[in-house]
Formats: sequence, C-alpha cells, structure tokens
Amino acid sequence: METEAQLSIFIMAGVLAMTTLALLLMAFFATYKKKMVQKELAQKEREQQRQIENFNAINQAEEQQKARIAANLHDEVIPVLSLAFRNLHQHLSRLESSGIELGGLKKELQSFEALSEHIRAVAHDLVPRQFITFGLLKSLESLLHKFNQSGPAFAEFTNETTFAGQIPLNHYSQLQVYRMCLEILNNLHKHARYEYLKLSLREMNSNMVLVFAHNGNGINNTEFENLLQAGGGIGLKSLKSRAQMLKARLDFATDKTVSYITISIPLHA
Amino acid sequence: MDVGLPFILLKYTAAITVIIPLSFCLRFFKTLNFVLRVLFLYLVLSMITDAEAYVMGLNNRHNYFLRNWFTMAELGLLTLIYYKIISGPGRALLIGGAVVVGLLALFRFVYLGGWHQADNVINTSESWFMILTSGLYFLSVLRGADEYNPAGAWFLWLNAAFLMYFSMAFFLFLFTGYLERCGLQRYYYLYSLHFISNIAFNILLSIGIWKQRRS
Repeated sequence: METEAQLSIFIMAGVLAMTTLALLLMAFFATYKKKMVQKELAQKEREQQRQIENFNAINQAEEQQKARIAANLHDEVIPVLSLAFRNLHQHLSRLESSGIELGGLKKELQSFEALSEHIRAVAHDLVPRQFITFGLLKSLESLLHKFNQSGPAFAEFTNETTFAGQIPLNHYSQLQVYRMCLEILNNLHKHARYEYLKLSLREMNSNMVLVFAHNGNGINNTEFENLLQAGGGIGLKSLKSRAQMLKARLDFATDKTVSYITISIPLHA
Repeated sequence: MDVGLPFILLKYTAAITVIIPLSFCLRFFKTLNFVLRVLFLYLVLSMITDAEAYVMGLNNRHNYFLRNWFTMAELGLLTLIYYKIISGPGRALLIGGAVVVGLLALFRFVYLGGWHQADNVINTSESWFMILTSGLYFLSVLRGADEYNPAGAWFLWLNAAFLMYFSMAFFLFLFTGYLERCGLQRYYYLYSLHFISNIAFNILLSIGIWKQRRS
C-alpha cells in the first residue's frame, strides 16, 4: 500500500514536473523570440534612421551646391550674357543702319537671347527664388498661378490654418515641403489631366497637412508603391525620401470623382 | 474524500470541450488550410475512439484494438502535420523519429500480436516523439522567422497544445498498467490529470484554429 501510495505520488509529481517543463519551455520561447524581434526591429529602425541621415546630408550638400551654382549663374554668367547680348544688338543695329543685310545674324541673336533666358530659368529652378523671397505659402500660391496660365485647368490654394506666414517648421524643412509640392504638382499637371485642383493647407493633431484634391486621374497607395518598385523616376523616389526625412506621411487615395494626395508633416519634427 | 463526482464532472467537461475545436473546424472548413484539415480528421478519429471506449465501458469491455489503431493513426497524422510545418533539416529528424516509433509499434502490435492488449510502450514512445517534435518546432521558429507575432502565429498555439498534452500524458502512459490495477480513488486522482490536459489541449487547439481563420 505504501509502495502504491509512493508510486501514485511519483506519477503525480512526474506529470506536474513535465507540465512545468513544458510551460517553462513555452515561456522561454515567447520571451526569447520577443526579445529577438525587438532587437531586429530596433536594428531596422537604426538602419532607416541612418539612411534618412545620409539622405539629409546629401540633400543639404546638394542644396548648397545648387545655391552656389545658381549664385554663380546669376552673378557671373547671366550678367555677361546680358551684356554681350546688348552689345551685339547695338553692333547689329549700327550695321543694319549702314544698309547691310543681317537676316541670318538676327536669328542667331534671337537664339542668343533665348539661351540667356534658359540659363536664367535654370538658375531659378536650382534655387526657388519665390520661396526664398516670399516664403512657402506665397510661393505655393505663385506656383499654382503659373500652372493656371499654362492651360485650361484651374488650381487654387487655400490656407485653413492660423499660421499666416509663420509656419512652425524650419527653413530647410519648408524647402523640402516646397520641393515635394512642386514634384506632385508637376506630376499632376503631366499625368492627371485634372480640370480643377484644390491645394489646402490644414493643421490637424499637431500635423501640418497639405491636401491636393483634384478631379483628374488619381492613384492609390498600392499603385504609388508599384510605380516606385518599377523604377518610376527620380521624382517619385525623391518624394518618398523627403517624406521620410520629414517623418511625414504620404497618402494617395481615389474616389469616384475626386482623387487625393495628402502630406501630413508632424510639426516640430 | 469521495472524488467520484469531480472526476465524472471533469470527464464530461473534457468530452464536451472537444466540441469547441471540432465546431470551429466545421464552421470555417472552407478556409482551413491543409494542416488544420488533417487536425480536423485527427479530432474526429479521437472523438470516435473515445465514444467507442465509452460504449464498450458501459458493457465492461475494453477497446484496446481501436485504441491501438488510433495510436498508429495519431502518429501518422501528427507527423504529417509537422511535416507540412517544419522545413529544412528538422524534417529529416521528424521522419526519422516517426519511422522509429512506427517500426516499434509494428513490432509490438503485429509481430508480438499486441493489438488487443493494453499498451504503454508505444504510447510512451509516441509521447516522447511528440514532446521532442514540439521542441523541434520551437527551435526552428527561433532560428528561422524574421518576424514573429505571437497573436498571429496560429501554429504556435497548436504546438503548445501538443506539447502540453503529451507532457502531461507521458507519465500517465508510462504507468498505464499501474493505473488499471490501482484502487479507484487513486485512479480518479491520477486520471483526472489526463482530463485536465484534455481540456487545456482542446482550448489551445481552438485558439490556434481561430487565429488561422483570421490570418
């Protein structure tokens, strides 16, 4: 009887011991795997942060380079070209008044003038003068005004915030926002074939939100990612990189008649 | 202290809880993957064996023949389940273990004519095989998957169910002979552990089936 009692206790103890071992194994597994995943996630985040910092550094260097090139073009090349054009024009006028036929030369002079204008435009594209002079809000308005002049489509800008020119983002971040808007507007102008576009600036939950609402052809987030994967141009990649740098969220959505592109930028980022 | 009533309550609770994973399988049958369909077959066979044992028990008869066949089927079905889940070198270990236990079973049941006898050797061997296989699966997940979400990894629940059940059952299977000749009170105390493991097994399986439905 005693032996039987001992055996029963042994069996019960054995069962409980095996159960405890099983529970310990499961607990160990859950804890260890969770730690491993957290470690991997932290590593991915560090890698992403490093990429953003790299992009930031390259972008800043690029902006500085662009500013130098624009300044050189503006201060040295354009004045020289303008002066050369004026002098040539004067010489040609004198020759024409002497009765010499200048048909071909006048054409070359026009090409020269066009070249000067192109270089001026390049300089302005490198560094957006409107943005530097008037700030983000005015430059966005001015941008939309230029697009309106290029075709029948109509675009308007509305500021639904209380910022009134004092946007709570540093100058560099505002420049990135400007470039993102420029890229989006260029793409919409080329591909969306909208008749009406409304760009709204809002403030929601400590985010500055820009919403491009239009009645043209839109894409959704999946289509945007597919375009990126398919090597869809430097513009889209730079759009995504700038969004990552600003820790902003890009959303593409389409409805039956209206398509939206939303940029949500956390303020004080 | 009379443990007859709690024992009977546990027995019927364990029998009823098997309905939960079965009903989940039936409800979501169209969306079940291959592994869960095999699990469903396993649960159906288990239920048939238990029902037959109950009926035979009412007539004071044993159903060793069906129980031994079920052991073989259980080995085959669970091996198939883990074969589908585990990849890489672990599969070779799995097949090796299953072959060893299978050959042992054939020797015991066919060569020694043990179909109609109580068996604890094969049950115990199978328990060890399943404990090691569950551990093998945990190891393969630790080494393998880059992303792990406990809430979404449905098979982890099934694996936990098998590990829990066979760990608890191991000692009971080892001492099957003793259980059959020990006094009723002791039998109630010891076999109630098996019912508790059944209840835990069914609940964990149900959670795993539910999670798969959502993944």
